[in-house]
Amino acid sequence: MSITIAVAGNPNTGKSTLFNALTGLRQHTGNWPGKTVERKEGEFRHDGRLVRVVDLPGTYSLTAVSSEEIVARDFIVEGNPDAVIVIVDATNLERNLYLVLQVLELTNNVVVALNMMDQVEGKGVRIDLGALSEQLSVPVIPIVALKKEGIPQLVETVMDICAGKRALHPVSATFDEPIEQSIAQLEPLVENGDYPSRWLAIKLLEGDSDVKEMLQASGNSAAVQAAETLVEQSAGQPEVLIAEQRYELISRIARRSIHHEEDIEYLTDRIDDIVTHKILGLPTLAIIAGFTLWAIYNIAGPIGGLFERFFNVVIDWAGGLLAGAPWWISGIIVDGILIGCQQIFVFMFGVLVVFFFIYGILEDIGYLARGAFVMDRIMKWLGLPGKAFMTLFAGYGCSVPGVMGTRIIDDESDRIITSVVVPFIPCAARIAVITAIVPIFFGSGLTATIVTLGILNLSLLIVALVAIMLKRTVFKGEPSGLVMEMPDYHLPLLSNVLRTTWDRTYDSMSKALMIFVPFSIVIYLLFHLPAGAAVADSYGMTIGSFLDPIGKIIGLSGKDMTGFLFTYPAKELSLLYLGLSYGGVGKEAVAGFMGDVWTPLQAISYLVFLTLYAPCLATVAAMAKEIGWKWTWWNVIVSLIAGFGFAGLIYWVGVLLGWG
Amino acid sequence: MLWDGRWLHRSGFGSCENMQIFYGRKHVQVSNPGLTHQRVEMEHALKAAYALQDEGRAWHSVELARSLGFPDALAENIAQALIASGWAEESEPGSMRLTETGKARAVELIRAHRLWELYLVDREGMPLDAVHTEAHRREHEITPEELEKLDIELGYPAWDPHGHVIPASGSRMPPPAGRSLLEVAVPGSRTRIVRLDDEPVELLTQLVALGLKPGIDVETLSLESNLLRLRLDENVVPLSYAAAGHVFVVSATARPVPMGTLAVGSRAQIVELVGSGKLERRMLSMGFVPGAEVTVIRQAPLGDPLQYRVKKANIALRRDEANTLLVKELPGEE
Repeated sequence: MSITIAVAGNPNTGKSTLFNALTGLRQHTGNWPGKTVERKEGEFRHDGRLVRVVDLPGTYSLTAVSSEEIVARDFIVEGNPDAVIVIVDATNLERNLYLVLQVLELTNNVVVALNMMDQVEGKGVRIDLGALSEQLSVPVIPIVALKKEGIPQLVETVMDICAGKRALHPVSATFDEPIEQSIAQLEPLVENGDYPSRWLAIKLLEGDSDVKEMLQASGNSAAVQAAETLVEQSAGQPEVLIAEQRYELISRIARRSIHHEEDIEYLTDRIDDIVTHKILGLPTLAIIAGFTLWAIYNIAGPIGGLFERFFNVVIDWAGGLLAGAPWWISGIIVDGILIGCQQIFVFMFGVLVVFFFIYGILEDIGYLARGAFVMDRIMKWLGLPGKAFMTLFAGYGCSVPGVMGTRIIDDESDRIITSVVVPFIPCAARIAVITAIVPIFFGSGLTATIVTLGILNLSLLIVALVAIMLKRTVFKGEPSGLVMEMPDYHLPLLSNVLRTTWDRTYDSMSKALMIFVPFSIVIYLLFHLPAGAAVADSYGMTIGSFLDPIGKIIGLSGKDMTGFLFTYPAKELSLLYLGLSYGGVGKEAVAGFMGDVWTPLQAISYLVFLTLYAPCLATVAAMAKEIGWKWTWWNVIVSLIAGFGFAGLIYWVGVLLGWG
Repeated sequence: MLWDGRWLHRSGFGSCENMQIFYGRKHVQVSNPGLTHQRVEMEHALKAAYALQDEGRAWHSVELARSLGFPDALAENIAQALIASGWAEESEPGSMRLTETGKARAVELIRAHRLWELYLVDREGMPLDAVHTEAHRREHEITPEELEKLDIELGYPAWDPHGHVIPASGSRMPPPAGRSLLEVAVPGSRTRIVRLDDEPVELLTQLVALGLKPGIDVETLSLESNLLRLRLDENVVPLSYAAAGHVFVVSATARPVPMGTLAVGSRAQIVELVGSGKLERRMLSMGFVPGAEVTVIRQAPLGDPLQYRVKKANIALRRDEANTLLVKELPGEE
């Protein structure tokens, strides 16, 4: 029979590192059912037995603030793990013990993994492991997850508990008389469920909305009402009293087991003095962001080039292989699927890898929280929560991870607003098209820079407009705030960064490809049917001529508008389409003739529309999954309005000024 | 508005013009509510008696008459009137005390007076030094039901604009908070004004003109022969010893302040959480609990958010979130 263990812990305690150290490469990710919370699971073998490890989301407590806490506690109770490892940051023990106490309210089979033991001394702290273990009455194992120290001992201890060799009777928080009386009154009302009745009673007194809903759904509204009455009658908020008394217990435990020698000035403080400095803070962020973009163009380009050559070989080979097949088979496979995949890999893969790698490093060393700290005032002005900065930043890489990244935002309405605005941030694909087309018309001097920056800033303006509008109308009066830990800096662990880079790239790429391939086939057929017709006479182009009047709004032809349909799956296909429809594949070819097709003003209109008109199909899919179809449609419609509005405005004002 | 200007048009009942109440008759029919001016005078006498008794000593009818500005000859009449109305009794020969009914009515009058003062300042924009007389007029006319409505409309305030505690309905008067600035002022001490005497009005006018009012912090800079020099915000103002005796203060750190108002580098202890949302819940779990010590580490380049250290962890909070915690500032480390 297999064994299941769960790993719980605060964010930034090295939980993923421990999880990776336990499971190695044998892990898979998915979502918790019904929740937009990532679920990571892995396994290892111990004495021939299969041990399943479930990585619970990082939380500070088990009282419902967001889905993370609910997922974590539900698994501890309903997933029935044989043991729970609570990983604890030894350098910040008191705050971390808060979660330990809460886990102990749910299960006795707990092992505390005391991580970062190597840094404890440097911080002037001495921990008496024996005393701590005695105080908590559960095993406490010192580890250094980054160096894989202490892992075997941890596993042995966990196995002992799973095998029932150690029966634990851990410490539990007792509260002041009035709270205990309320608990005693509520307990009989909530008995006979999976959850311990004392735990349910405490959660009711804390006002936990999820527990209330759960009880109400099971027809036990009497308990909920009783709890609400008790809360009303209580002197002081029970929620605050309970938290306060838990921390009092922790202080008692800490007094006997932790000795603070002296406060040493941490390296973290000195770094923060610079990166969050009054004057240097924002430039530091700008340099990091600038470097990221620079790296994307200078490293992603060559990676793309490699893929281009690789796919060319594959395409030639497949073309030869399919030489005898009917035109539509080779067309679908070579021109539809293979060339489409080539485009996605050339434009997207390198960008994603580079971006996620840098993002992962910034995240791992702890800078991302500083970026959010420095930028928060602007987020607040936009009505966005502080953490939105991180996902907006990710949006410069690709909107898909940007949208999925909104999961870190606690509040539902905040998450919706952020998801809706992220796609307006020009992703690497759009930036690639902009930087490919601008030089054709404006060279590489000052004008080109102004046009490029103008288009990029226009999209930021839309982000601001949409966010402010939503916050002032639909989500009026809903407060959003910032309560964010700024973890200590530490050196990045390359294997962690590579793993998250790979996971995220894989996720975005597979989403893009899955949606893209079928669409690509349809597009191919549209432009090659009826059979034997030239592209100019195809259905696609016929549709294009219908789009002429619509194109007029923004000064473009129906053919160009067809291009927007064509590139809807992925906007980086624009260059391919322009080549296909105006006669020549490849960057150089496009550069050769586009200058004769459009005026500079039309080029600007095209790029503005391309940047704004609607998120690509992959983003739409991600949005629908994260925030539902209603808000996805809302985004698509607003994008179309913004695209036509701004491109049209710029074009016609330009014409009036005689630039046409 | 529930409370329009109708009260303003009523004529006042100054002490002198109504002295005949006590001169003219042996038995004053205070139970007749129709005799408004009589009742007003009686209630003034009751309040004066309450003030005497509140100082914790027995009082004599002559003392009461003097505090009301009446000749000694009227003392007996006033005392008899109070006894007849059931508000006072003779505890021992020559010594008077208020009955429970008398005390309750006195507290109710004080409550009405202070609520009216707050109403006049807050809702009618009357200057602080002008409200006393007007509130004096209105306090007698209001019915208990109207008083409740006024209390609700003002949001159950705890302090009147002078910084006096407004007693809750049916409660006893708590002792006035704070000690006189004259008593506690030492150079360099920071204190918070909790209350200004509302009489004499001329002095109050002066204090208000100097910028002194309840709720603000003042720092005593120096004590000179007959003068205190105080710093209020950026201004330095002189205050005579006589005037300082009418300003009541508490130590500036005694009253909890919102955490967002603390300066970078200061340390504080959390006293209370006033919010109750998801963010507050997260703050609780991160260690922002009553009793916890917090240090303000820095503020972001654009002024918000702020970085706090609590339980050895660094947490960024927007000022709005920080302000949902009330804290007591602790003396700084060197």
